Amino acid sequence: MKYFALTKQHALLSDVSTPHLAAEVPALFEKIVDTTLTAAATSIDVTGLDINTDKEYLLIFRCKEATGGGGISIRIYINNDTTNTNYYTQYMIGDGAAAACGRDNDCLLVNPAASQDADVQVWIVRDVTGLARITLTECYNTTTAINAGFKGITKTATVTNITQITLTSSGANSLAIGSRLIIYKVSR
Amino acid sequence: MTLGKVLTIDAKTGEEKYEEKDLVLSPHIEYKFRDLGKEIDDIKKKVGMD
Repeated sequence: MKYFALTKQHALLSDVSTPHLAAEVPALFEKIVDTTLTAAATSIDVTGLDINTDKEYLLIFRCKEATGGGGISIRIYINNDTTNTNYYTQYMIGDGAAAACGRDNDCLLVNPAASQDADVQVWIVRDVTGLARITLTECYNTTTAINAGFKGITKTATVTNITQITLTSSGANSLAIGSRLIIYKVSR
Repeated sequence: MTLGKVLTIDAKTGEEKYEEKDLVLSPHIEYKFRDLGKEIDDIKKKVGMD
């Protein structure tokens, strides 16, 4: 396992009005998943999670559309609930001077075009109410077609834990060899 | 149903397994991008406000 820590020391150094804490509590990022696809896949399913113990997850997914046949939509599912309408997504995405902004009864993570790359950073928590809440930034496609955006996703029903996260593409075996999934558990 | 590879990763043990599975795939959705600045400029031109 690899660790790195962000202490509160840095923020407090510039704030003389705040007394420094007697016990510095670092935010620990522990890598619990780091996998690179060795075969083109449709879906990646991560089991054995426990957000009640782990507190929150930072998921990083770098992928490429494998088939060249067209754009794909990659969705994120919690606890094997693969019914799209059990999620809502609010999104704001830029495409040059144009923007897309809206709310879908769906759980779209990112939409790379044919043969294009995507990179998403995804924070996953079980919020105070008990909803699975996902906040992400994304950058996908390239050069004159690059897109960037951010999204919030929640499930419509509360969960007692988050034990499974699934990423599934709309295209069969469209997640290319070399796509990489990293998950940190973040205790803070 | 569409046959495709699924990679399952057990975060506890680190075990990884590829399997061929029949999956019901959801459709690809295209976002509708709008350039509102351009749309406003076009309307201004139409009504002679430019």
